[in-house]
Order: sequence, then C-alpha cells, then structure tokens
Amino acid sequence: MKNKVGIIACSGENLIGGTLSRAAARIVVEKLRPNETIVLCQPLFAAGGLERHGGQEERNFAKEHPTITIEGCEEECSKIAVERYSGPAAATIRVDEIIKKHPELKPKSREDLGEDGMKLAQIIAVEIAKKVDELFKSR
Amino acid sequence: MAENKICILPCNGLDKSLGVIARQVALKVIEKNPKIELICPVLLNTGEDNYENLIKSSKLILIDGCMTRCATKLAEKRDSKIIMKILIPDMSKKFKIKPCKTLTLDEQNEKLVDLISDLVVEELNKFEEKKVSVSREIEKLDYFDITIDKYYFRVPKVGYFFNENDCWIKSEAKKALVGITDYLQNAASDILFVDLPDIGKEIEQFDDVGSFESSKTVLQLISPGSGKIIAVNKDLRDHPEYVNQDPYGKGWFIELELKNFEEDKELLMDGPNYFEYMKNKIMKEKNHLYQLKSEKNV
Amino acid sequence: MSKKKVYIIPCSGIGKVFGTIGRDSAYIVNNELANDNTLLECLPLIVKGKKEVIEALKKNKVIVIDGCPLMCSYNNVMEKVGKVDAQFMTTDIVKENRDLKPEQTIIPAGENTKILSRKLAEQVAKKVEELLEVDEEA
Repeated sequence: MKNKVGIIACSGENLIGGTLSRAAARIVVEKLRPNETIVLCQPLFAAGGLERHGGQEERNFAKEHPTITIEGCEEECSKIAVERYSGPAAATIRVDEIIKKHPELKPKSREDLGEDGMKLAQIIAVEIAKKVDELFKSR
Repeated sequence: MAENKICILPCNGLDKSLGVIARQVALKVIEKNPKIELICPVLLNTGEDNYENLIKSSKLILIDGCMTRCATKLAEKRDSKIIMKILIPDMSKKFKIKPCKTLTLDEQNEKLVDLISDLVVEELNKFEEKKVSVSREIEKLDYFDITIDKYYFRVPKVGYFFNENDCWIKSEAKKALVGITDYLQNAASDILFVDLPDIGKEIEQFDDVGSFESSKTVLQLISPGSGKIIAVNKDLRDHPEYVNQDPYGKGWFIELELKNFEEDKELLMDGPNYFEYMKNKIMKEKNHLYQLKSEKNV
Repeated sequence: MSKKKVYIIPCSGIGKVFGTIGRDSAYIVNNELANDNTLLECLPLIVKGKKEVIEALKKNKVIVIDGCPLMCSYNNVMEKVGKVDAQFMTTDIVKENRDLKPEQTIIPAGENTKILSRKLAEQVAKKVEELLEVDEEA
C-alpha cells in the first residue's frame, strides 16, 4: 500500500478562497484520491497542539511524507507553516490563480459556494489530484 | 502532612473588578478553611524557587478573573497538581450577578464572592470524601507505539491487561482501574458523553459496564475483570476529553474491588500481545478501507 | 454606541465536523445576527503574525470559537494578541443538545449540523452584545 500525501487547506475565514480550498481538499481526500491522501488540520498544524495529541502528529506526518498546501490567497499561510515546522511543501496550489483562469464561474459567497463555486472546487480538486499523481510517479 | 496540603492561587488582576472578585474569593475560602494556604501570584512569578516545594507537594485551586487566565498560566509552568479551576466570568453567568464597574465591590458582587467561595469549599469537601472519585496521579508509562498515516497508537508495556474489546485493566493489590485503549479512543474520535455505572454494582468479566459517545458513535466499556465497582471517574462527566487525551491515565472509567483476577487474566492479553493484536486489527481495517475506496472509484 | 467591534475567530478545523459548526456559526453571527458589530478574521493570519491584524484585535474585543479541547484558536490568539474576551467550544453546544448528533459530512453540512451552528450563533451574538455593553459603560 502506498504512503499517503498530506493535504493542508487554507483555513482562512474572511475570504471565499478559504472555503474553496477546504471544499477542494475534501473532494480530493474523499472522492478523487482517497487511498493516496490524508487531510492535515491547518489550525492544529500551526498551533502545535499538546505533546500527545494534535499538531505534533500533523507536523510529524508532514516531515515524513510529501505535503501539498492549498492557498486561499497570496498570504500563503499554509505553505509558510509547513516550511516553518516540517520542511518545504512538495507542492502549492494557489486557489486565487485558478479563480482568475475561470472568470465565467462566480462562487456565491464564503459560506455557500453555490453551483459555480462547487464547479470551481472540483476544478481545483482535479489540479490537486494531478499533483498527487506526479508525486507518486516521481517516487 | 504536606502531601495532602491544598493551596489556592488567585490571579492578581488590578484593572477590573473581576480580578478583585478573584482575590476576594481566595481570601474568603481561606477564612472558611484555614488549612488552605494562599499563594501570591506576584511572588510566584518572580522566581522559579519561590513556592517550589509547596507546589510540588500540594494540590492547587486556581481562581482566574478573566480569559487571560494568569493564575492558570503560572500554575502550568510549574509541576503542579490542579484540582479545581474557577473562572470568574463563568461564575458570574452561573449565579446571574454581573461584575460591577468599579474596583470597590458593591453589595451584589460581595454576594457573588460569598457564593463562589461557598461553591469552592463544597467542591473541596466532595473531593476529599473517599466514596467519590479522585483524580489519579498520572504515572510515566513505557509504551509500545506505532504511527499509521498521521495516527499514533500506544500500548503500555507492563502493568496493563487487555481484552479483545480494546479495554484495559490495571490492578494494584485487590483493586483495579478499568478504561479503554488508545486504539479505541482514536476510533471513537472526540468523546462527548460518558455514561458510568452505579457504585456498588457487582460485575462479571466481559460485562457491559458503561458507554461513551462521540459525534460518530456510541461504544461500550466491556470490563476485562470481575468484581465490585467501588469508584467511578466522575471527572469524565465534565471532561470526557480526558479519555481521548490520556486513555491510560486520567481517562480511567471505573475502579473495581477484584473478585478473582488471577482467573480473569487467563482470558486477557498482556501489553506485548495486545500490541500485536492491535496492529493486526489496524492493518486489516486499513486494507479493507483501501479495497472499499478502490471499488467505489472504479 | 460603542465604536469598538467584536472580532470572531473560529478555529476552522477541517478534519472534524466541530470546525464546521464553529465556522458556520461565525458566518451566521457576522452575516445576520450582529452584522454591524462583528468582523471575522483568519486564524492563520494571526498565527503568521500579520501586524495590522494583530493590532486590530488588540484594540477591539475578541471572541474565539474552538472545535475541540486542543483550543487552537484560543491558544494562538492568546499567544499573538495576548487576550481573549470570550471563548466558545463547539463541543459544548453538541453536549447541550445530545439528541442532535451532528452528521459527519462537512461539505455539505447536514441538517443537525446547521441547527447546532444556529444555536451556537445565538449564544455568540448574545455575548457580542454583552461585550459591547460593558465596553460602553466603561
């Protein structure tokens, strides 16, 4: 059985990019690449958590396995957190850049993506899945 | 004797009435129970040696005036055994008395101080009664461990015995503590409710003696041993997360007066054997899930 | 009317449904129940240490909403900002409503999850009012 790739999605609340990141992460982990990926909780990762539970497990996983970060905006918080606590991310997906490539799709709001938003999430998820495949091929 | 000593540590908030209330509560508690010793937060904060021996050998009550939780932070920097934490805003809500705006307490806030200090003394009395559960000292254990994906599973190497329902028993002379394993708490996810049995109940090995519920599922505690229930961990009612955080220590469920542990042990696994059993179980589940997900995506 | 705002910082955990309840309740408060008085802010930006965000939080009231006992939002805000004016745990709302077990699906959120989010939002909105009232009287 293959070792998994960690997916850390933006946990920003103030922007639609955060919601899209999270939706795309769930699509990848639950539907597109369920055996190859695992979600790492971004707040836990950054928080570090208690000695026994929480952030240490996320961080240790990211040290030993390739990690893809999904960024909601140019701040790239997840990428910075991974680099700080575990090592360089294997890949980074910028949601805002994908949104720009699809001006015809207009997500409804940060709390309810709507039909267009879910389509965008699916597009982002496919990009992530491609990266996952590349990472497995290169092993 | 110092081991049974209780100390009280209030925050020292000076800019709000909440800090004044916290300090007054501590003083009132000492008035009602002169055996309790007051720890000055300012002195505590100025040097590591201050109160060092006292804190190591005592149990601590913390009184925080606000969400900054200065008293808690000070205590957590030391090797302290915290038995009670009071947060004044929560008490204000509980007793429906708003903190006053001034630093001199009004009549209502004086009443709040009385109510909170009465509550502290009452809880302290319950804590000291032998029939009610006490928080157990957390031992430093030696573990077998394994990480699968991001999940980390531990099994104590010695002293614990396990059944196939992933529950453990740890005996000391004629008594034993019972709880669930790391594997089971992981499977359950965040535990929200714990239903404990009645004290005094006689149970047989493999009886269902309680349950715990997470947002995912309800699971049973299946006792690895037989005997009479002499205590239950009432801490779990307010802090079910102890089962997730420390399943082999703070997260214990019941205490038994053992009937025939030598006989019960014959049907149980020791640490090394349970660790192998647990690993096989996890790998089987992982393979099964892998197959299911592969079939779903074909 | 108090000039201060109340910032709401949910933990936004993605691994479990409790993060969703916290997040959705923050949205309800900010969009509906206390629209004029609240702002949301990104926890990762706070962790990152973004100056403007941290300064704003220091000058205003802060409510954190945590999804589990690890309290990522509370711990991070305390570390970077130095204060939290109120804390809510989504596990508490689930415990208070034992018959409303939240579904495990996160996208979309289940019906029970939505009801729990609303109940929590109502509690948070009440706290927003209290915090601004206290501030006004000060």
